[in-house]
Amino acid sequence: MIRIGCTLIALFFTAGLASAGEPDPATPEGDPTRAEYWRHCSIDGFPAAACGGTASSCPPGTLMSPISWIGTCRNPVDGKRYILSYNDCCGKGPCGQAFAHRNEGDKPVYYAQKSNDVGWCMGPADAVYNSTVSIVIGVEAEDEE
Amino acid sequence: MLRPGRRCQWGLAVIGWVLGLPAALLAEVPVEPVGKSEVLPRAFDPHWVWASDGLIERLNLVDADDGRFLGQIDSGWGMPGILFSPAKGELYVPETYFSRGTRGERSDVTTVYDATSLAPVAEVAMPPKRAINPLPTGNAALSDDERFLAVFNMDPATSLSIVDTATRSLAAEIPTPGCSLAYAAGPRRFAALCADGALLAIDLDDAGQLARRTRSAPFFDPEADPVTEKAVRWGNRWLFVSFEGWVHEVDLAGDEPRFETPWSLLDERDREQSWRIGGLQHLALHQSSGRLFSLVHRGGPDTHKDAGTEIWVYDLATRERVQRIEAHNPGPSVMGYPLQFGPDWLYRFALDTLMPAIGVDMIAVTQDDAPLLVTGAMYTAGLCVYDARSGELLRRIFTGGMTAQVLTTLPHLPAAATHEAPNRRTP
Repeated sequence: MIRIGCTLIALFFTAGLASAGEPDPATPEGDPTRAEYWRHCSIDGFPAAACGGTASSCPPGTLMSPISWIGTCRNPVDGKRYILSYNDCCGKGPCGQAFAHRNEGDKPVYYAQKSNDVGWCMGPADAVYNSTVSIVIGVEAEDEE
Repeated sequence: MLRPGRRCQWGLAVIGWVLGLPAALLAEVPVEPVGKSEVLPRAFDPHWVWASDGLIERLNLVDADDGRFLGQIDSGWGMPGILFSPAKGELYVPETYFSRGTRGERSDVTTVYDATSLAPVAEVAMPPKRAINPLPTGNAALSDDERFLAVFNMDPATSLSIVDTATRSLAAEIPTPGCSLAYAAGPRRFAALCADGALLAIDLDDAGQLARRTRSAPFFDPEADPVTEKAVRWGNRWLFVSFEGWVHEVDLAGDEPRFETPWSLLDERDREQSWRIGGLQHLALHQSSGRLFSLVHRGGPDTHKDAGTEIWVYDLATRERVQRIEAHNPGPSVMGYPLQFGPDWLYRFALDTLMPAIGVDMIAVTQDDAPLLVTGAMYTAGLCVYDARSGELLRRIFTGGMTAQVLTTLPHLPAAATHEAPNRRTP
């Protein structure tokens, strides 16, 4: 009985872990090419995944700006808020796909680290803006919510 | 004797000759010279609207009285912005270019345009780090005497490039650590907003060099309720409005900035009904009447850039809302062409009743005694023109661009440039 109980508990936690991760890609909040994708909650621009890149990589031939703004978005699968680094992809014209006009947590440009209006194609990626990636860089501590 | 058929031919020939004679005398189109370019009938007009189009990187000039397209200025990468020098008859446009179009060596310039020919007459090279963003105000400011232009830099360190419009040269670059943007506040003063909610005042000397830099205590909380960058000027005051609709008035006439007690654009009932300020250019102000125009919509937190459905008008002397204006659909366009159809009454009926009201993103007000309220939306090049006093929709016009993202009118009539804001009751 003890063995069966332990197995059930293990299965329960395994199932819980298995359900964590990305939402179903068939849904808007699970599809990185859609403006509604959960990680894009603070983008005011074009998601790189809709422009030939992925949620965390830039489209071919563009250069990712090393400096970025930071946002937090809630993953609908595990309910946690993740810290996102929104880096701009630079060097080709504005992509124009899947325009995301979502501004969760957006601040004015004088609060640059949380501003999606700042043109971040600067420094080594000083060129025209193309699109934006949404890179997970951590999980927000619960006491910060 | 002529046969009947021949007589008829002769008769017709005579009639044709008589009828055709005046036409022959008058009809020839005169020979015209080659190489002529038009100039505007005047340098500035209060009802002329410059519409910024970041997609095709240009400013389109249209007459809000009749919708006539008057001209354009091409402006390089970034949201085009324009500043006016009525005294010199010049226009100033900060511009950014890359040597290979979207990449390559970057050069930033302020180009000086003649205000009637719209031709470039000079350019001033600046440090290649002008801030690129979609803001309608704050990226560049002209001193009240039109001598110095301050251009906001961000790479991401922040500074101001000071352009001397008299010598058409770069006068200085002034660091503004932790503070951003530029708001004109007198003949030798610019203000900037800081990340901690403070205000930085930059005073110049007559050579455009830094004379004094003063940083205030924070006057708003940028974490809890930041003010938008899209402020409007009323005499010597700047009005900054927060995401939650609080107006922070800053008087910059004295040596030290004076901050008034914030007052709200929204009452409790408005907040219960989820009314909020928002838009890409959500404020406009008519100087001489002291009327503030605020674009509002119903929405939740983080909708500070959402399109508005109404324009609320406030009397700044009493701080009371005096009018609500419904935001009409500006009318669709595709590739710069207006999608107009049928007679005017049918077109207006279709736009106001059949098509979904998507809202408007920007508002501007002309500064004359018969002011116009102009509204636009980023999904179209169409604009709505209202009587700013009655709120009546007068007409729809088109900018000739792919979109409109910022609307700029002559910011003030010359006499109103330095008027003091009137006294009013203490809040």
